[in-house]
Amino acid sequence: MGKYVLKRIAISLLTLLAILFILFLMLEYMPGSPFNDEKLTEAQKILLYAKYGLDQPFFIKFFNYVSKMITGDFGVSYTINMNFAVGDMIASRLPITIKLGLQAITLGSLIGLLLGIVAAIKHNTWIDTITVMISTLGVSVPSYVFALGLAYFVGYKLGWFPILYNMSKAFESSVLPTLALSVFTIANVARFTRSEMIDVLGSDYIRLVQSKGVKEWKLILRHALRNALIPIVTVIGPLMVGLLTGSMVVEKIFAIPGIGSLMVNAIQMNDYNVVIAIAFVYSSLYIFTMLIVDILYGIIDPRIRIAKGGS
Amino acid sequence: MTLEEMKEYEFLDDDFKFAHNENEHLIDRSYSSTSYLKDVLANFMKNKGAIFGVVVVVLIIILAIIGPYLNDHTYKSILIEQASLPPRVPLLEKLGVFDGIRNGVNLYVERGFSDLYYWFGSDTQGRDIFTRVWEGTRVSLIIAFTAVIIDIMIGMVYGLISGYFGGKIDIFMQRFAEILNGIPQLVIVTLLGLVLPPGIVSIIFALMITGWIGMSRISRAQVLKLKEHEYILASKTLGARDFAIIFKDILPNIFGQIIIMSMFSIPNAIFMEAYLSFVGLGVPAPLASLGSLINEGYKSITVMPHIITSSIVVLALLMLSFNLFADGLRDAFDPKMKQV
Amino acid sequence: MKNLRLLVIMALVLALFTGCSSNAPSGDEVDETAKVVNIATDIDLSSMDHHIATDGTSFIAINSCIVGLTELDASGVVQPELAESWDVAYNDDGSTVYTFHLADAKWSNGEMVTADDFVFAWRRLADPATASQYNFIIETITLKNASAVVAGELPPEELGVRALDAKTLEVTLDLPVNFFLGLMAFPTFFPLNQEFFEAQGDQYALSPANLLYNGPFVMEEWVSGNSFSFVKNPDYFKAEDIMIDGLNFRFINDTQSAMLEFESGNLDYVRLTGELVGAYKDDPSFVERLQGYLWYLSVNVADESIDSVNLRKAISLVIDRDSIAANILKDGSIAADGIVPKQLAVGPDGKDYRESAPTFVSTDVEQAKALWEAAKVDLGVDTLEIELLFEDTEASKAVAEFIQSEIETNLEGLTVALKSQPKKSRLELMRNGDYQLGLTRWGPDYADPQTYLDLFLSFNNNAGYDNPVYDQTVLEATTGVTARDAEARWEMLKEAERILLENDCAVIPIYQNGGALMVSTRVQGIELHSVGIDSFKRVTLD
Repeated sequence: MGKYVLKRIAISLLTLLAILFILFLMLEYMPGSPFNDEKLTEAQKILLYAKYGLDQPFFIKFFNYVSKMITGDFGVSYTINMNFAVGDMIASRLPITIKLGLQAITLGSLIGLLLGIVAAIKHNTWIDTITVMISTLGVSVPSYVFALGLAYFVGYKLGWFPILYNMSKAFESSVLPTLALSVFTIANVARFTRSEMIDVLGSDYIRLVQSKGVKEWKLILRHALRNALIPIVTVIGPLMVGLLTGSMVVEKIFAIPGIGSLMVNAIQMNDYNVVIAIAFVYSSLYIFTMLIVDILYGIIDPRIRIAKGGS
Repeated sequence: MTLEEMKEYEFLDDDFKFAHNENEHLIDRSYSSTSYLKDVLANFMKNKGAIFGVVVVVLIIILAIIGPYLNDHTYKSILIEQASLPPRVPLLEKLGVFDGIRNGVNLYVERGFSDLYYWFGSDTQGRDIFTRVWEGTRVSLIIAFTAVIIDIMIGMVYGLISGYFGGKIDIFMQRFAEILNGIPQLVIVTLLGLVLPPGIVSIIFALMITGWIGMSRISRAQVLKLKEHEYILASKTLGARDFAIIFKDILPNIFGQIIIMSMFSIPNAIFMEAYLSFVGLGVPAPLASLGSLINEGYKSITVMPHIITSSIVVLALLMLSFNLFADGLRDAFDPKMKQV
Repeated sequence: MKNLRLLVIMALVLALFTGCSSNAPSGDEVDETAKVVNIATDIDLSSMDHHIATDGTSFIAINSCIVGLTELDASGVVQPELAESWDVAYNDDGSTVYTFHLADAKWSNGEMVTADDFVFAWRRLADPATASQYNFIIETITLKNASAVVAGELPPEELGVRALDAKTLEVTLDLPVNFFLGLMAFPTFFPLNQEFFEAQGDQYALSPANLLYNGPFVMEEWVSGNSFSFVKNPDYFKAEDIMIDGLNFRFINDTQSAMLEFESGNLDYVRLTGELVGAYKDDPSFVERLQGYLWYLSVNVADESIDSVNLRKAISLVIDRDSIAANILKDGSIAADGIVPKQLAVGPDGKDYRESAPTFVSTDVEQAKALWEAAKVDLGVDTLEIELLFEDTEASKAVAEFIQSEIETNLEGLTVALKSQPKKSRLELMRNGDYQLGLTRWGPDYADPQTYLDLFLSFNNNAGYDNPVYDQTVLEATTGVTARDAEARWEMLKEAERILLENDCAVIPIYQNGGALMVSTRVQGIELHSVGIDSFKRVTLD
């Protein structure tokens, strides 16, 4: 197991470096430049490029960037907050995005599980149909529609929760974005739980347990859900990363100072360093979650560990 | 009843009767005469959700083809003085819906267009939303279908080769796919959207660049399973070449799975396109796609909700139907197969 | 079954509350009695370093807490600020010497604001090492030796600015620039305390603590991506004029969200965009303004496949600019009459430039059709596709689509391919001359037509427009002998505009930017300037 984990970590690190290179390469060919304004003259532009080392050849830039990055220096922002350290900008926003994501994933998985279980138990009844409808709609409709709907009806018409993010009322103002973000998780988890539970509930061993006269709730929690959970864990990992990227739009609507809104902003303002750094952070989070899921999966289901360790 | 008693027990004629008299007839109905596809179809037809899905998908496709020609407007003709009119449909308006009234005022009458009917309303520049929605649906479908077809081609070939040859080739190809997969799709699509010139082709390319990975995984997994089978061994022994085996013996067997997977990929592609539009990297104006329409309408959702409503409804219906259709297809092809 | 449901509900509640308890307690309760104005901004604060800043939001923020030699009052007239008074001496060679006498003002660290602070600031501005994007403005005022210093040919010490004593500043200009005093109210010319600046190293202006203030407010907090706020500066030398306790800026990208917040009463100032303008038009809080930004179609004259003056004129004549202003933008924008906007500059006759200058732009579809026929002959084609480059904002997109529709409906055989790009990429493409038609804008740097007419000098534009007569006319009016005669100069500027638009039709002016705002009725005294920085300094609250 230890060897397997080490190998996975090494591969992940290598992947990250490759990703960084690809990101850098893509940005090299991006049209536009961070220093572009109606007023800027060619001479000034050359000065600015020299100041930030952008006039260097590609590989030197890449090497400089990576060697600095190892020490935690992601360079400075060119346009959004001029001369701010990008590392600091991300460090102050990442916790907000992650906290929101965690809230959404917790809420979403719980509601999703509940819906999925109920639908599976009441398979082929109207409850089931409605759950399927809700989950399919939840997967279908973009989260910004929910976000705006919540902002308008719950935030504005009913006035229950603040619409815009407010540092001093962090929890109240995170309720609406959390709800908006969790819809996708609810839908996904509910779908998955439902199909897994139907499968498990139809299996022979459950019939055996049933015939032993075990109470229904015990049957579901102890015997059915536990087995259904294994594959569900695997979808929650990728969903989590999906949430982070999905938060771009929701963060914009609720004016949340997280990395999603920063990314959108950086893209629009050609703030190269910020774009690279955030894309890199996203990728790291993604690879990290995948790693965790893989390892978790091995712990939950020993068969996989053996199979993977063997190959 | 003790053992002694049982020994003495006498059976009467009516103690037993046939329990499964009818069922034996059923067993007689042989499946050998029905082909696999007929079987699939029969299974599929039993699924009401899937039927609903197919019907709606077909309806939407038909409307996407003919919809833009059902009235005199084109998707880009601007009649600025007729901007922002709410939906109004003849006959239906008498029922109090689609009557062109907003905030209690019939805007058509108020602005002197009593004879005009915009079925889905007009947008903020005075373009017919009905025409634009179906034009947009068409563009979205074209993008999604093309992207998915290319995904299938690349993914399938990649997966087949990687899985069949195994060894170093497999490790190298899987590592490459893993690295590409390590970049979140949204990030890569966004960056590509920035680098490439705006247009449908660029969007398809951006969607394609990561989309094939899922497809390759499935085909690789299937190949790994299938290549140990005896019939492949038989083929090999008879001297069939590798590519012949891959494409003649293995490919047909994984086709069902690929079709199902691609049905799930289509709504995903539509979804990604909508996201791209949101970051401003969608189809170039004045072309419409469902994503760009939603994005446009969203900017005035609080004051003119009708602009966004129709495109949202079409998008939601389309994705709902595709998902139901894919679900049904999966169940029909292989009732045991789990969601991928 | 019931037990299970209860369990899950409990877990759910628990999850929500753990989320709650992990938050820092909402410590800093807002003081309800404090007179604070809440302002929404749709662009994040980019920089508080007044030599580095380039955008409106940054300038408004800087202008709230640092002041310069002069300032603009509500109607845009120059008033003394740090400079109590000044003397002007005109020399025979055209050079002009301003001597400013400074008031007793203090920095927020207790130091006096001295003439040396100006000298140091201007030297830093001109120094190529600073790489200020706004350093061209020091050349615009024709400060002595400025061009050479900016080009790195002379050391910054050679700049035509010096401190006669702690309270007296002498500025030498090469020409009698009539908008000079107005520009002294612009943040780029504000002072900077050398000692403090050097003590901050590379952290200068990156947080409220790394900045010195001498204005009405001091910066209190700056949360990147979220908000920044100011509180009243008790040490401001005119502190008694300031009627509010603070300014609170919230960065909200989406106007609809901002308006929901406005309607909840949490915001006092929101800039409206798109359809929201129409929706709130009749609201008592609705305010319309006219800005100095002029939007125009830049035509790439260097592209021979479209180089026909008849084509340009046809396109210009076919666009219904009033409709763009009234039906698409609806925010107080007006159709452009020329390349120089309204309310930009007042001439020697005391009238607005546009009042005395002719209207060079009109709409006439029939004439346009005839010109298009002529253009076909010029270019030797029957049909033509022309590319229109624009940026991906809502307004630009709508205007570009409208222009496309106007051209394609009226000029048969002429089709327009729209190309949308993010702003920075659009500018890059235009800078490289990689476009045919480009929808672009220019904001005035100072209150004079020159700021627009300079753009089209052969060595300044990237569109390949090169007319020696135009160059000569503009240069004579701005730097030649005529520059010393205000009236002759004014007429010559009009002549230059006529050459540009009527003869060559080298650019196609479209509209002058308006702006729609929602300003809470409890707030009075926000000063909106079409040239210069909007000011919240003299705001009062009911």
